[in-house]
Amino acid sequence: MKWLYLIAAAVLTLIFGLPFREYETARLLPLLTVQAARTDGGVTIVSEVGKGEGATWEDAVENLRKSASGEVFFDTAEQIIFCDRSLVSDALESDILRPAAQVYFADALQDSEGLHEYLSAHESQITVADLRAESKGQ
Amino acid sequence: MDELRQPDGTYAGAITDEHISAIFEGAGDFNRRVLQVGAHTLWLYAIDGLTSGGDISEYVVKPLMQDLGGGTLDELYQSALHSTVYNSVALACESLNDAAEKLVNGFCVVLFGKKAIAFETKTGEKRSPSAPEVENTVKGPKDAFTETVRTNTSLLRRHLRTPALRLYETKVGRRSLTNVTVAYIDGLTDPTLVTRMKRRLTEIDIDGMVTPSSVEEYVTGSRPTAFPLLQYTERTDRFAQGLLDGRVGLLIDGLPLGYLAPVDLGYLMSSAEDRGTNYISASCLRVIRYLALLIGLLLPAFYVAMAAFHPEMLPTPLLASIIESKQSVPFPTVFEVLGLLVAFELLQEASVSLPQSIGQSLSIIGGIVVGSAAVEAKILSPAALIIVATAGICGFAMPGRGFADALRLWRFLLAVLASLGGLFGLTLGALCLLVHLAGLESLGVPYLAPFARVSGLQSVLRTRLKNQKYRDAALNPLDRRNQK
Repeated sequence: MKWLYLIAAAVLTLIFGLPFREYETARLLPLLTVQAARTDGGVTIVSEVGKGEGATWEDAVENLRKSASGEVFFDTAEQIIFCDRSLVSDALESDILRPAAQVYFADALQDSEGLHEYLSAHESQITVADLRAESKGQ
Repeated sequence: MDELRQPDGTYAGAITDEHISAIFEGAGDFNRRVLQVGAHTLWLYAIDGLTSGGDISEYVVKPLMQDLGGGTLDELYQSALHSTVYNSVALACESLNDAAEKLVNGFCVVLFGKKAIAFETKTGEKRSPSAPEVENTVKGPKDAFTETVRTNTSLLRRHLRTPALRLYETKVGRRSLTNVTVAYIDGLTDPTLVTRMKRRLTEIDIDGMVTPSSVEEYVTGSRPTAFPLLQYTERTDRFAQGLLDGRVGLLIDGLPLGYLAPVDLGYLMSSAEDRGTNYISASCLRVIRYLALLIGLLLPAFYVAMAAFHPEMLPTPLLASIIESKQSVPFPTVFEVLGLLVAFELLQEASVSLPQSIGQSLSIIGGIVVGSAAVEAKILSPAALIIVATAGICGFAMPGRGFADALRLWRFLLAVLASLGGLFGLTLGALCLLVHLAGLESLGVPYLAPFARVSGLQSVLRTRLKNQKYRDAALNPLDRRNQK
């Protein structure tokens, strides 16, 4: 009987107690390159899967998620282009970017066509992890 | 008849014609003949099909009728037992039960008043040794075990000519009275192993020991595990090698295979062909086999965990491929993989139950036609199909079916755990499996014994025979050195 309780506890822990969730793989929309810019209306995020706009970084992300045809998956983003340095802290706080993603800075939003390939050929020396470490150091 | 039969299935009473006839009353193959030898009346009994009528006539009835006319009944009995009847085996029956047992073992019994003699007149009708069907060999011997234990012991004797080969015989099963032979090499095998095996056989009290699982479960104590605690082989050379390693063998009348104990993971992962091929090739194959073990066990669970719970850990191009392959597939990854695993098991089960020719057709229809159609119809994703098929193929690379079946079960369990908790569930399941295996013992030898030592890696490789100077220490053989 003791074993039944243990197994039940283990199953419940596995189902409800884990800090990660199950994805519906077929609906995932993996991102490769994300661009973020501050515009008149607030913040604009542009990616291969669509565009999101909002007053803040969180609103823009939420808008991007809602307007996309599936589940926007930020964990695969390999390159982030910030068109405004003030967005960096918001992006780091949101914790949706993976640490190994390379960070670029630009003056304006770029044309998405062939952008990922171009950035892959011109690797950045800065990653999200570097920026995070830098912000914690300050 | 009921008064003759004892609660333990044996028969008690005087050795008389009435009693013997009563025991076999209604048996269509039971033959009873009255012989008038001079002034004495004798009764001859035999089971048709188990005995040779020609041998009974020539080597039992003829000498009795020709040469044993005079004297008293006791003189006639003594003469038949010790001199005149020139049958190679003549045994005095000690009891009614003994006479009945001799009859069902291919002897003919002649009743002299209240005494009886059993003459061995076994029929020569039995299956001849043929090539092994499951453990195929390219260079090895082609004499596989048959259903007759005596044939099997003779095959074994031809491989092991040593007079130290011991064949302890006993009967198991109240009603089946199955002949069981414990084989070991005196002066080599650890006597504790032999004693344990004999004791376990003595403790078995069942009606019949006629199926492989009844042997395996009763001899091993029916531990709650899917993993085999006895190794079976149909190859006589492998069985002989097992005895030379210091293991105990078990031959069961009616089963065309031999069992070897103790068993550990190293023995289960070694193939009979390992000693038949070059040691470098055999080592490479063993490494591949261990990889197949890991892949077959973990791949479906790993795929479920990665695709459904941790897609961020996959390289983006691979994730993109998986996502693309899953477009339009209506089922989540978890159900897809678990469903495919069940379908794979069903296909395997159906193939086993069918004749070989139809089984092959079923495999083609099930595996290729239905699989391809399901992918084309977008019911299944190609990735899931490839994963489950790869795991299945890896399972077939396991040398023993019992071990492969246990892996099939654990593969499914791990996939379920991965579907509940991703990599955490998979790790938890793998740890449970490791703990479970570490707790298993076969005749006192730990299941993971080969990997409990620093030199455990040698179990993965097939070292050169000239370097294998010592027998497995886990078996505690009396003579550890097997060559100079």
